[in-house]
Amino acid sequence: MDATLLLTTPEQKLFSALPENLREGWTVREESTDAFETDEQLHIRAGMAELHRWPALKPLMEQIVQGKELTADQVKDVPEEALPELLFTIGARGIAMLMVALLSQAKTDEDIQAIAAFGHLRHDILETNASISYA
Amino acid sequence: MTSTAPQENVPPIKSHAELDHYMLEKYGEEKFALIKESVKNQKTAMQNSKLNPEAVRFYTTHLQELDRKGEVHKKWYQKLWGGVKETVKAPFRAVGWAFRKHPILTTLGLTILAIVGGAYMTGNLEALLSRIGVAHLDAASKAAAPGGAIMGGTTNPEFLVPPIDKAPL
Repeated sequence: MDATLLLTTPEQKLFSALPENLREGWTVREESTDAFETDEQLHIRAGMAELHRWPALKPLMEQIVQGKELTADQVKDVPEEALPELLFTIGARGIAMLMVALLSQAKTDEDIQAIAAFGHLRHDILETNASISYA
Repeated sequence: MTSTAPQENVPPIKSHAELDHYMLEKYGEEKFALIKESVKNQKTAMQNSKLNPEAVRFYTTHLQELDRKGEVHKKWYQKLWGGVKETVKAPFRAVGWAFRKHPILTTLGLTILAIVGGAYMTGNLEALLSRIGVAHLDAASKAAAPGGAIMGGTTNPEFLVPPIDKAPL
């Protein structure tokens, strides 16, 4: 992963408000593709999701539906292998929300690396959203 | 926020085969052939009076999302198998790290997932964004906005139930 952050204009504002020591070494590039999903497309993706392949997610989702936050111990149960399925299902829109949340809480270099990672994965989804359209 | 979710009770469709099966059952062979043709040549097919525009839209939207899923996964996994392992592993590793480090981020991610499936009310997302302190931010509202609202609803999508337990299409 290179040291490039792919951020939308509002996200760039959040990034530029971070302390300089966190920002240094990163190149910010504009995420200009705006092929974000509609509600209906996300709903269809939810129907396509095969999250039952990771049974550890089930009790976490049950807790979420009850409106309870997850604890540090519980989040260890989220398998990394489930991330591609999870991220595609919530789409570029869902990832954008995660990026905003992380940008607002970033305190370490690892946080910025994660924002960069989200940006790259979102870009792949946006590019694909734009390139496959039958409507 | 109001939901723009389709109201029709459509079973979850996880593959091209399931989509074809659903369309065949619902519309029959002849109409489905016309609908499929419409993907190749949308304008003329949409003008075809034999076709139900809603059926064409249903098919193309589902097909589009199935193809997008295939393409994104291919993009991610091809990198993995193509010898540039780190390129693809690193983003997922960094994201996994962030989820473990910030339980609130995982809570948000899974809340969005639940909402996308219609299992959760949008009010809870707003409360969560507010709790994180980003509800007022332009970037957050822009992310929530594209379809009018991230899906709200009360139906349980049975996300985590293996397909074998579901009623056949």
